[in-house]
Amino acid sequence: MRTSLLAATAALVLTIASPALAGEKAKNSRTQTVGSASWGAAGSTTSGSPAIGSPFTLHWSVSILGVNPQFFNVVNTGALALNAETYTTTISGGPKIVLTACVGADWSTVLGLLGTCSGTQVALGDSSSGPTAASVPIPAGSHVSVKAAATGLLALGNYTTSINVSVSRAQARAAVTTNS
Amino acid sequence: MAHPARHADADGRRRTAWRPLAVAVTGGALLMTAGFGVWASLDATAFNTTPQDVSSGTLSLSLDDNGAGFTSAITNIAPGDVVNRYVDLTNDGDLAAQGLTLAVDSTGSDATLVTDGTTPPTKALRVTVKSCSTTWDTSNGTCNSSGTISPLLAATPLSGLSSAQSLIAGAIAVNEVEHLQVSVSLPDQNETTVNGAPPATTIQGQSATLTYTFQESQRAGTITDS
Repeated sequence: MRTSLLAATAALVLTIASPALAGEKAKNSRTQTVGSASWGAAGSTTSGSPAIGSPFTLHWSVSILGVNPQFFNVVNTGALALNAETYTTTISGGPKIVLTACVGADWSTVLGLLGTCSGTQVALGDSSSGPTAASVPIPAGSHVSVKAAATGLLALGNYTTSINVSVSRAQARAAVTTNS
Repeated sequence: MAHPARHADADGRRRTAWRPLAVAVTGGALLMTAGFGVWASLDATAFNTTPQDVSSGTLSLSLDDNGAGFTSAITNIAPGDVVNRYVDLTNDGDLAAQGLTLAVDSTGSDATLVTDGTTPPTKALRVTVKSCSTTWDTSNGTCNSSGTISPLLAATPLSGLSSAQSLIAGAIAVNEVEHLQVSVSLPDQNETTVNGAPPATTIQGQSATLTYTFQESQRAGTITDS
């Protein structure tokens, strides 16, 4: 009888003490995926894909008849809309190459080889000016049409122009706060 | 030849020598029997005729999306961006709770988004938690009905959330709802992409999976008298 009483008392004490000792916990979990954006642009032929990681090149054959402008696209390769880009045009010898974007439309050669722009023309610098930051908006998944024209005294021969397009974070869309 | 009378005296002394011992044993046995009889007769038992019901409490923490919540992926987060998502935590068990914590387990396709290799990380994702005393307007991040916004967790890199961090140290009542705004941000930083190719160590185009684990502890054990 005494043994039973002692056992029951001990069990009661343990039962009372157990919440603090055991420290029950409740938890709940959810998983969320996060993907970061990319931003950038690259030159491309009007019918091809952009040359990722390499400068876009144009080849010129200057004759006594002169040389016609060439047209290409600068494609937004990222996921963010671009507000501006920086263009660096280089050429070894030969004429000065001037780049001009047609914003809002593509350059057209229907009315002549010099091309016409029904949109807004924006200068992208030239081969003698070094890097040129130009405020040319290019929405995600879109492109801007560019004319490259040789100007000045044209020395006969074959030349290659390299066009690098760089985009910094500040030239892509601004930071935003979203709620949903 | 032995004398017959001497034999008789010797036998008589041996028989009488055992008599006191026999009497003592017999008396002791009688006393023990009688004693136990007295003890047994003093035993008493009492019990409750109506059984006592005892039930243990439950501790439960529910998590519900409020708006897009965690189940909707975050895409194309850019440096400087903040994405606010909203969830409701309810202490929906029978027991009050205390000590709400948050841990975030993160894995990613590239370590840059989870931990950028610097200590402390300056480029990786960060998590911030705030609570609203009423309810959140999930369209613009305001606390409805002039409620009070309380910061629960300052912007913390994911690497700092691998172990549980305290959100609410104090008590959480039964059925109390915590209206939380969980913000994921990517610190402002600059990267220049050349001809469509990002730099070697880039924050761009990465993905990460974040598992948020909220946990609360039961209230302290109590002793009640009634």
